[in-house]
Amino acid sequence: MRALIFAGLLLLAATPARAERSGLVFVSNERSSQIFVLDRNDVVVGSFASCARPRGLHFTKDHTQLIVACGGDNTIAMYDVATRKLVRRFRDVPDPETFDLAPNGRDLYISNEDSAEATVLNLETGEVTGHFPTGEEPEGVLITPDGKFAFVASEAGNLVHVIDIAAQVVKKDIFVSERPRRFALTPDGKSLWVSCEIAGVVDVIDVASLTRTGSLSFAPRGMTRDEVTPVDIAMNRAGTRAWVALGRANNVAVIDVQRLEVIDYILVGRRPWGLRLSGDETKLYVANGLSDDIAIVDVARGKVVKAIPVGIIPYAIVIDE
Amino acid sequence: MNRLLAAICFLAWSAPAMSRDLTILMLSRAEDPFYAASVADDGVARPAPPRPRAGAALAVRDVRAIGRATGLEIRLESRELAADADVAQAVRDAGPAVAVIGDLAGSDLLAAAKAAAGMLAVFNIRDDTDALRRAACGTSLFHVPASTTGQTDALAQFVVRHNWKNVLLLTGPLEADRVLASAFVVSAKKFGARIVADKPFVMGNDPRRREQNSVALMSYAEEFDVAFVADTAHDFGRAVPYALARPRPVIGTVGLMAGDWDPLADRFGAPQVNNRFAKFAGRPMTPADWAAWVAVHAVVEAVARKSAADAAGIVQRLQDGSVQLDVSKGMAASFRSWDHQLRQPVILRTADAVIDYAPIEGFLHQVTTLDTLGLGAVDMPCKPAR
Repeated sequence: MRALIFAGLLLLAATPARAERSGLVFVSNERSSQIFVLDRNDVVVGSFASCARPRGLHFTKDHTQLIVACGGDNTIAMYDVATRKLVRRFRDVPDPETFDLAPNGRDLYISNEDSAEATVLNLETGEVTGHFPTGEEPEGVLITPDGKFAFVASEAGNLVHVIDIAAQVVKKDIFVSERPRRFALTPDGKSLWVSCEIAGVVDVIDVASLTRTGSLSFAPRGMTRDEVTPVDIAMNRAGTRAWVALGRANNVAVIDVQRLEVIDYILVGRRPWGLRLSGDETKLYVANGLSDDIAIVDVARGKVVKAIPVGIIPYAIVIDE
Repeated sequence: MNRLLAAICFLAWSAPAMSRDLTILMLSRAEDPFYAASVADDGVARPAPPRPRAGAALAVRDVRAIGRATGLEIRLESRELAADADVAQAVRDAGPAVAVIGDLAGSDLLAAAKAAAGMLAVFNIRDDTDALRRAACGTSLFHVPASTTGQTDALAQFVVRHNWKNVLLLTGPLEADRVLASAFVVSAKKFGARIVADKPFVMGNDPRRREQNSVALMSYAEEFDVAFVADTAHDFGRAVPYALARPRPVIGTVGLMAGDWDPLADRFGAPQVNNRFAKFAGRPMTPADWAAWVAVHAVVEAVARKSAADAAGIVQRLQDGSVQLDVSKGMAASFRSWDHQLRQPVILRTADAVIDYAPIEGFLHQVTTLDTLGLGAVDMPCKPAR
């Protein structure tokens, strides 16, 4: 009952806050345990020390707090977006890497990389309300906007686990290519994309049948197949364009989603992993893990217009907008 | 509490598909000299290496979810042969196992592979000699450790890349030292390094033989960028980095070494594997542990995803290269058709750090840069089965 009231409050709170978002860009840096903050003009306006080895980032539904997964000290921490002060901390979450927030704004589905499971953390009570055994090294987590499924990729198991949220069971394990990392869902909710780092492809899963239906490979100029190690995926709201960070191939691939074809490659920096598209979809932020910078791609021109030094091994990017 | 969690986990599993057994047999031998705690002539006790069964056992635990997805009941069975037992008979009695992991010496591995007669995969997890790869050519023996040539190729690429092209070779008295030094000479030539001198080393303090037992003297007259030490007994070589007449880096069996695995590897998902192993076994993961771990993954991959139906099917999938493995070294590994060597990155490491991974950037190959390392098809006495 209390949970219900709380969820209701969250819903109420979510609506009015929308008007004035800061436009700030937050970047987690896993090796230096810092969060860097960029303003709307892509200038670094500050940084703060976070919990240890911060990787996954997400805002709370009302965007007042930033949720950070810290694998180094087994913590999920929440920072106030305006003051950047620690608000709340959940300890003893084993090696959290990435996570997604359920549409109820309360349940965090977390991949626990070292313990081969996905857990559900209730942000209201701090209780862990669910444990789902996965293959080894679970990584990417994506919850469908209708709250029906949570998908979890197991890097070392080459599997995508499908958690039926209502029934709270692992409904299916789908075989995918080697080392699945991150997900993207087409806006119509019909296709789930999963990047497979070692196989060098993005596999496409049909959400209705939960089967793998296709695969997309990459061949950027001057790079060998072995260097193509895709990780993060971004997609526009119209579901026409997608971007895939190609890791050691130092490029981001631009994809025509309907035709499932690569239409361009953009050289961005060393080992790009994390991606984020700006709200107006004019800029793509790219976290280059081995050159410690954020490349900003002008989406219309398909070119890097700026590279901004941040902390050591930038990982994830989120924008408060 | 733990029990409660276990119950929750159990409930959270969906109903398993119909289950089939997949058994992998690990063979070892009693009184194996490889595991004797050696007391070298220097009186320093070197602890015996741990048996690598835990590596295979961890892999069996790692593939639980794959077992769940496919209805495979994956098991590891271990059998220790008596010191004088016939390994060939043990292989013929391996059923129902569909593959054998051999924690065995090279001679036993060869006998096991011959007994398997191409119908059963046998995995070599600790022998790195080129000789075994040549002798086992045409059998169903699969080699997980990089070959000696693969290792010296990795080191040669590294020195050439750093423009340390003039190499002084210091070779110990053992046959294995000479084999290693010769392999490096071939690798150096292949990648463009130059051997400025090859000096044999003998143990001892005899002043009349000081040109062979004093590292300072042996290195005084030569201009070199780097010293390659071939001392497989890890005896005189340990002091070489601080005994040279010139301050130069040392590679080979001391200093920068080539290896298959390192508990300190910090990229490509290796920390997760190492943490998992350390928790599971209570010790760091050795290269042999890792090799046994790879062998289990290879078998499961062949069955679960490449639909090998039986032991012979596994051999087929492994040798045709269709089994691609993520071995936590950043590139997909697979077995070469011509010598059944695992095609993989080689780690370049010191005693306390991973320095680089070969293939080193800039060394190219028409198929995969991984094939710049190790024996090529032309080096093998026989051709692949098909």
